[in-house]
Amino acid sequence: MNVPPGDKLTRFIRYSSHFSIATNRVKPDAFLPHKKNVDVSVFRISGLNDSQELSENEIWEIGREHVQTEDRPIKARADLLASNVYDSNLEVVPDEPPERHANIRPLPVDSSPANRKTRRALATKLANLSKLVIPPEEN
Amino acid sequence: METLQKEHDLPLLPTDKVLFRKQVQRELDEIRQEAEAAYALDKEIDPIPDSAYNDTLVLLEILCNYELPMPEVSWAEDGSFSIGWYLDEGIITMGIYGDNLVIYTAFFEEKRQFEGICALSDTPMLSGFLKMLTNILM
Repeated sequence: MNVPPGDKLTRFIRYSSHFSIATNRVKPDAFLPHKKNVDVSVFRISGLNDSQELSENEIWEIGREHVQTEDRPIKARADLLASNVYDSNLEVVPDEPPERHANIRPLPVDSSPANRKTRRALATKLANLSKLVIPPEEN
Repeated sequence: METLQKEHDLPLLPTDKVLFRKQVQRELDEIRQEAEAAYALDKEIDPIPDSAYNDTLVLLEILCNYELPMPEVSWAEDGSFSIGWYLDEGIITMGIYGDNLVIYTAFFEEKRQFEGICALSDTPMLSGFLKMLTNILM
């Protein structure tokens, strides 16, 4: 069963060039995985059984526990609604464990210029609809 | 955050060619370093070929001939560089993978979006896109 459209999602960002502090925007690069990957990894930050949103601290803790590594700390995150994903003709499919993990899919495999164009168009749309959130210590 | 918002509200200004070339190339070099460092830690990431760096330099030289605001340069895990402009209401990017192609994408809202592919050497087509870009950004 897919994630409900009203759920909030977040994509943790580990690279400085995948967002812009100056314009307060997420860049499409944050939603472009490597060429053979058709999934964009996200976490659900609302919904589930209790229907309660997680606190900011709880959200960052998910990133620290499941995404961050010693060499690659989390620099920011891109928050968006699952409905934004469905509007782009993509799906949000739960993929646990870890708890609350899901994948936005399917991006086309980057096997031709046409597919590459489609991947970039989808990533641009998702980035444009996302809200950039910076960890508190970097504000 | 208030300061950032004020910066964001500033009108985008055209830049002179020398400043444009210097600043964007410096940014490209920094971004290339970040991408190489990321690839060193994670071999699942697609490495960015030298040809993508060279094609980006060629594209930047072409952009110098247009009165465009300073773009931002970035990289992605699919082995690409991007040159982009991030507006209040939309995003415009040009993706370079080192195969002599430029993939351009502009997204503002559902009914205001366009995308395309052209060869870096296809001057008329690239020129058409850049003129449209100038009209949007200036």
